[in-house]
Amino acid sequence: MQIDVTADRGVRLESDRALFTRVFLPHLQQAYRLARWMTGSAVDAEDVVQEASLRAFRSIRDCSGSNPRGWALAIVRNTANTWLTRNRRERTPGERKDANGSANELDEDADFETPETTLLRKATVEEVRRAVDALPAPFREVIVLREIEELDYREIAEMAGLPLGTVMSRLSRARSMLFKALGEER
Amino acid sequence: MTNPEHIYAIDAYADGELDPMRAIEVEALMAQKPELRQRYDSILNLRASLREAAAQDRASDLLQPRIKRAVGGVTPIVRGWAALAASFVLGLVAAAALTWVIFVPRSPALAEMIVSAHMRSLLAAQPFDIASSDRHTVKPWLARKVPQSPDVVDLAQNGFPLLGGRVDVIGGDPVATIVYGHAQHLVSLMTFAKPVKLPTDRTVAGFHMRSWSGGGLTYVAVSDIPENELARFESDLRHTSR
Repeated sequence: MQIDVTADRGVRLESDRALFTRVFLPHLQQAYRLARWMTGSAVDAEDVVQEASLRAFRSIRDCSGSNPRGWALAIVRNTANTWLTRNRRERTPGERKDANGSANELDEDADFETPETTLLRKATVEEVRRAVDALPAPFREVIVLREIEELDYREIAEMAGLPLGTVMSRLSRARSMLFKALGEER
Repeated sequence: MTNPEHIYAIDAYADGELDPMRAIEVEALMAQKPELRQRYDSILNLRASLREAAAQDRASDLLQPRIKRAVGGVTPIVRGWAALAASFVLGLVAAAALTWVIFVPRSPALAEMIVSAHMRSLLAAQPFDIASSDRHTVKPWLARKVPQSPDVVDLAQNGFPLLGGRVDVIGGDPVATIVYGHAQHLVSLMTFAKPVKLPTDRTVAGFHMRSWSGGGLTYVAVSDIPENELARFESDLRHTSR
């Protein structure tokens, strides 16, 4: 009996690995990019992706296979958020309010800043990175999912567990904040 | 001050989220209002800048082999009877953990947070984020929201039909909550990935709680049903899962 179990487990493990190779590994670069922009660090991004892969592999049998990319990215997103919660205080202390935001920043109905009066020209890579990194985490997350991972509103809402309206307002406010930050740099 | 509705419309237009008729309206609006046109152009420039920056990001070639190595030492969560041996060991670990839980100081704040999450759900339009009596719908939904999600079992035959799931935030951590019905009452079953400091049974503001551990998770059931009914819920659940 014991031998049967072991053999059975061996076969299952092989197919689990095959499944993992098929549904998770193809999205590794995207996963890395998401972690890179959410954490703001190239080194931490690799750690987050590795931790996310372990989580993904442990729950590989829950992956229905209908949207492997969404499934993989959702795990990376959750892992990155856990990482942010854990390391929040160590990053640029005092400078940013980060994941909790201030009451005002997270007030979805807060008035927009007076709309930018100048057209945002293209920013340099460094400027963009710095501006995104300075966003409070909930805003950084939606802009990264939309513009870098190219997810649509519905996918973002589902992944972040937010109502569609909240996704829209956060995205708009993230953009306004970025316009403001990038407009001031020059 | 620009109308926020207009700003959302411009953003949704730039994101390709509008149907063709609505898109035509937004184009007309932009023709009238230069500041909206400018926002649209700014969005496209920001997008170009972001994508240009992101195009430079590549994980090192060592990452994939590193992940394959890491995964090599792990076994996925096993379901079914083959897991019995494993869950016996887990049970021992859980028992040890429970002992620890009993001896650490109890936090009254936690019990109150749990009850207020349950109460809030009773006041909401619906007490769950996903409504489904199908555990194969609820489980994957929860798995996408929280790092460690519980097994979802339906207890309809025991008088506790599965109604859905939601994510509560307790003490800053997302917690997977499974919602069951019982007559006209609701039972929230919250699952914590780490041991929580809660006595095995307890009452706050008329809501009873029962807490137990298993499979690496700590479960807390909270409801206004009578204590003996809640105890039956716990034992039914523990007998049905695994």
